[in-house]
Amino acid sequence: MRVIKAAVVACLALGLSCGAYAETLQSSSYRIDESFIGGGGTVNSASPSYRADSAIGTTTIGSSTPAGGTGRQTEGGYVTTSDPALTFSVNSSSVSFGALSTTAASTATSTFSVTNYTSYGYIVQVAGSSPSNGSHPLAALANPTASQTGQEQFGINVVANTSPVSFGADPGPVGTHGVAATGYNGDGLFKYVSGQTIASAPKSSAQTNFTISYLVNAATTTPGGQYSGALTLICTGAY
Amino acid sequence: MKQRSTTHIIFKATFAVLLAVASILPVPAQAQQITSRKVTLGSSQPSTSTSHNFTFTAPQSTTIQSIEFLYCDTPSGACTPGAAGSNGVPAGINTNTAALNGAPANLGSAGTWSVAGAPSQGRVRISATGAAGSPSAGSTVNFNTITNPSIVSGQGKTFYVRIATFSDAAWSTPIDSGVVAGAVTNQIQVTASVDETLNFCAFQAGATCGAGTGATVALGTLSSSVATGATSKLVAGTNASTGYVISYLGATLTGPTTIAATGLTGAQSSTGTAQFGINLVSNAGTPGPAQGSNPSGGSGSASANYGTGNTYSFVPSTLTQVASAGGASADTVYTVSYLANIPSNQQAGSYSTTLTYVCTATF
Repeated sequence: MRVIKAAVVACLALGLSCGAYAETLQSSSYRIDESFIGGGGTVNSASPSYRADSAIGTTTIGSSTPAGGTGRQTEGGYVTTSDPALTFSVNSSSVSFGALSTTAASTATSTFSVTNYTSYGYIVQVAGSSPSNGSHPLAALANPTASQTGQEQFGINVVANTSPVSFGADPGPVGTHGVAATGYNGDGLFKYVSGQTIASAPKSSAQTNFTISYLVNAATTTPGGQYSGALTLICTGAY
Repeated sequence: MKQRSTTHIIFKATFAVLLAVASILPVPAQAQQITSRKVTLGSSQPSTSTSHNFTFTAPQSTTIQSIEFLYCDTPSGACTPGAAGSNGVPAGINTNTAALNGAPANLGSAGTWSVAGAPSQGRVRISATGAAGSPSAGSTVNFNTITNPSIVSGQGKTFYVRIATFSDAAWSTPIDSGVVAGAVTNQIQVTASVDETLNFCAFQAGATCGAGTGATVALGTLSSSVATGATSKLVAGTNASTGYVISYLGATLTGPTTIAATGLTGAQSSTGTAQFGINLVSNAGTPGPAQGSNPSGGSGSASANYGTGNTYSFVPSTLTQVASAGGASADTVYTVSYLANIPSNQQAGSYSTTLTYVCTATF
């Protein structure tokens, strides 16, 4: 037994490749129950404050958070590497409101999704002018504001709305970490400021699907004609 | 027992020798991963020239004199700069036009950073000969005029930038490295339309088109000693970008003879004189009747010659402008005030005219 230990120490001292050596690790506060190598299945190690999940043989990354949700998190899985992974998709390339009205709000939605691993999270910003007709842009809402018919308004949010009608959706599915940003997370409240963050995730997250809810109201003085604009979503991951 | 002791001694000796050898071998500095790294795009629109701003923290205090940013399709593996769309370099990208947007920050002291090295598509290199000191947290390197990768229609595109720092100014002695991911994707085209509107009506009494009534303005019996007045209303509003113009067309009061109009420049009331005129503002009276109101609501206003209190103008049988709005306007309510005076020898009889108001909006 002492011979084996000496050899292992020698290997470590020279930085040489050594064979796998496993044993159960345990203290009064932490414990790794077992090690598992093989296709399929998961092996979890947990204590009241810490938990480590490993997903082997899967195409998703295991995400581990203790029951309280505020402790340490580890990730492991078939696709886990030290490389960053970012997938950002805008699923709707056009949003059309048709003819606006001075007596009823116009609404529409579009969707985008973000997947981001091995990161410290991400933000999604929106950029671009509100739709314009010649030199007249629709008045963008600088602060979260409720719909008001007869008053020119252009705004968005990234949550489900019950007002002025039921439309939109909260970020999801449940369990992913993407959320609507402050200012764009109020039911029935809309805002649009180019360059602002509309969604974010505080840490690595599986795919979160976001729905942008658009609101437009026209005033009697809103110049007649065709309005158009291009909004650009910019996703930035921190690694 | 003796055999075990001998083996024990052999291993102890071997271990001691190995440790001695290990202690005299040079220990190279270990490359570490750059932390807190990200690239912020000025625009995620594909194939668009925009800014790429890098933020990162070098984990070691070694002086950095050059940095390489290598744009690749994958975070690791083969990626050879030279041509967009080849050898792992993202299609459509153009880094050869990259320029520093301001001086990099927190990369140590001294030295002037500049884009350097032979251009090679997919790779941007900067260097600062003579740079000294240690980098600090939150280093920033901002580029502009980098053309984003292109996309296949309907799809997004993730690209990776491999960042490597070097202790020399020729990108030959690496220090640390790290990879960031960026993404380009379709823009969202937002369209809507607003129908052109023009709201215009004329009536004798009321305040709105819906509530307005009557189409006759009765001046009653005219007098050579007292001015006679009366009013009617116009309401106009439009979303035409250049507004509207309201004009009138009609003869002066006509009966057995005519009552002379006050003309374009107008006149104040003069009893005993033949006068017929109108204006669109409040008239205090003296001379003439106290009547009318200034335009209210919207941005419309009375035109010149029809906007001075107590002064009345009228041009017979010629389309003449009386009011306008310079842009889109909510409803403006105009009060048209009429003035009539006659001389003592004005032929008796019934006098009348029909005025037609025309509102023209320019969209």
